[in-house]
Amino acid sequence: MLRVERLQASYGRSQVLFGVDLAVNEGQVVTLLGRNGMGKTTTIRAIMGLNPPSGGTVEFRGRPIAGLPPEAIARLGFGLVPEGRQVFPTLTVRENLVATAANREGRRDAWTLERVFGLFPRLKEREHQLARTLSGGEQQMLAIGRALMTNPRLLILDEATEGLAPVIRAEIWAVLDRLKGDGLSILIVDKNLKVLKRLADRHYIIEKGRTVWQGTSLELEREKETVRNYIGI
Amino acid sequence: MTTNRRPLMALGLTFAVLLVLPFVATALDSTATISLVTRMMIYAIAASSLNLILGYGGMVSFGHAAYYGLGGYTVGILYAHFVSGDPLFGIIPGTNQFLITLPAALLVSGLFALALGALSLRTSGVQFIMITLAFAQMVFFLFVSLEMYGGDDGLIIRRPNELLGLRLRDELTFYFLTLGFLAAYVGLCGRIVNSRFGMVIGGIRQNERRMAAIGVSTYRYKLVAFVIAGMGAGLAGALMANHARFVSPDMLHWTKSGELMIMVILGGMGTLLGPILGAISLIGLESVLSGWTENWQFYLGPILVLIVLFARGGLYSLIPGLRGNGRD
Repeated sequence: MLRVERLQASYGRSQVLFGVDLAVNEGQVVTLLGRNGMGKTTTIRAIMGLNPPSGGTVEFRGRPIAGLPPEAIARLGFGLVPEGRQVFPTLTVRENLVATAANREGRRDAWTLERVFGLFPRLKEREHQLARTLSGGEQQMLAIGRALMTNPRLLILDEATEGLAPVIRAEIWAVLDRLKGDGLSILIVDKNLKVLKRLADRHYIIEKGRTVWQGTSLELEREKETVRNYIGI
Repeated sequence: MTTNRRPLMALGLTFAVLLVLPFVATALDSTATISLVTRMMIYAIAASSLNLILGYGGMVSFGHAAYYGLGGYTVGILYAHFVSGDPLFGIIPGTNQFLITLPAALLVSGLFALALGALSLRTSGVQFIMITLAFAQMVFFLFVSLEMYGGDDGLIIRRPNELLGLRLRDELTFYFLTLGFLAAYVGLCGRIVNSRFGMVIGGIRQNERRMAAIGVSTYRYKLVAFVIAGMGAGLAGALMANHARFVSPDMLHWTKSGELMIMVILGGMGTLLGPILGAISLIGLESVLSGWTENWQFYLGPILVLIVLFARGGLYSLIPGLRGNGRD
């Protein structure tokens, strides 16, 4: 579904990514791990065209996408839940969900408000509240709901549980579990190894802008020491 | 907002006042008031249209007078050809029928907004302000140099357009016609900002890249809003041409764009009522102050500064219960 090879990207003159490899297959949950500042978010931004790559290839469903404008890339079937949530503060919960909703492939089992509210009952209770009055966890749920309403092929979550209370985290992990059960492909940037080991099929670790390790959850468990050195927990 | 009905009530109240005002003015034998308020309402339409892109969409367009002037000149030029008898460009016959000149004015201003928007909306920030200003100035100088249509002196429209047998020369008739257009345009704006389209526009104002990351082609949304706003200003221009029975490059001058911007900011950006309040107060202040002193602009400046300093949401936020409705 998504294939990233030798991805390079820079901010102005300083190069941040030197060779990131990554692949997500249909229905897979894949993680992108690494210490802070190693280029995880930059990788996501480069894939999405928000910070266009300076080298390497990005292929989505068999089609090269590097160099396309961000909205064109997103329309191919990406659902991004960006770092720091980034909901629209002066729109209500409902408006945040419907404003950008789309079913570009005319899917029959398309996401509806009801289905999103089914996943996150808290959002239903706050339907007419402005998004800026929501708690951090609720905003995160809203950001996920907003991404789902575009009926993505691949959901990308950048630090979706960062800074949230354990109860809320658990709720979000449970939802991701359900989405995985429905067959959605998901790319997760997070640090919560314990949960990810169970949830994800494959893991990639990047360090200083390069993919330095990849493997299954089983291999992750087996090579605990190596992994710990890379991500430092 | 679904829960807060106050803004809608304030808007309704404003229109109720505008509806009964001419009767009071007639009773007091103050026909000048009717003409003054008509002007206020015409500017309110233009300011509302600017508010759509400036207040709701966050696009600081500094060329809004161009559409306003083009709307006015469309009426003026069609009238000039109607009087002289020779067709415009050799093919388009002149006319004095408002049912033709108005759509023509909307078309001309809309097409110009489409062309200008298509070019300028690829930029943002200071470049966007400068490009919209530059294009508007081009139109200004074009009409200054068009001797055929009066150049610097403008065009006099001896009789207002005809509309379904109404006497548009009659102050009261024209007042209610303008009020009707104002209500229709503000109603349209209300529908737009509360629609899905309006939500996207609001989202773009808050963060355009964020919208793009969700897959919204922001350029097209902005362009459509830009054209709707341009046509609104064109409507105001067409009304003004009939009201003043005169069009001149003054309508196109960049200070006119600035005036419209002041009205929006003074009244309250991103609210339906704000631009109406802004237009009424600015025109009102202008007419009161200029009655007292020749140097009225000297006094207008500090008043505007005070209002902007002490009422950050504009006059709108001074109305009790309307502060913090979240749409500012």
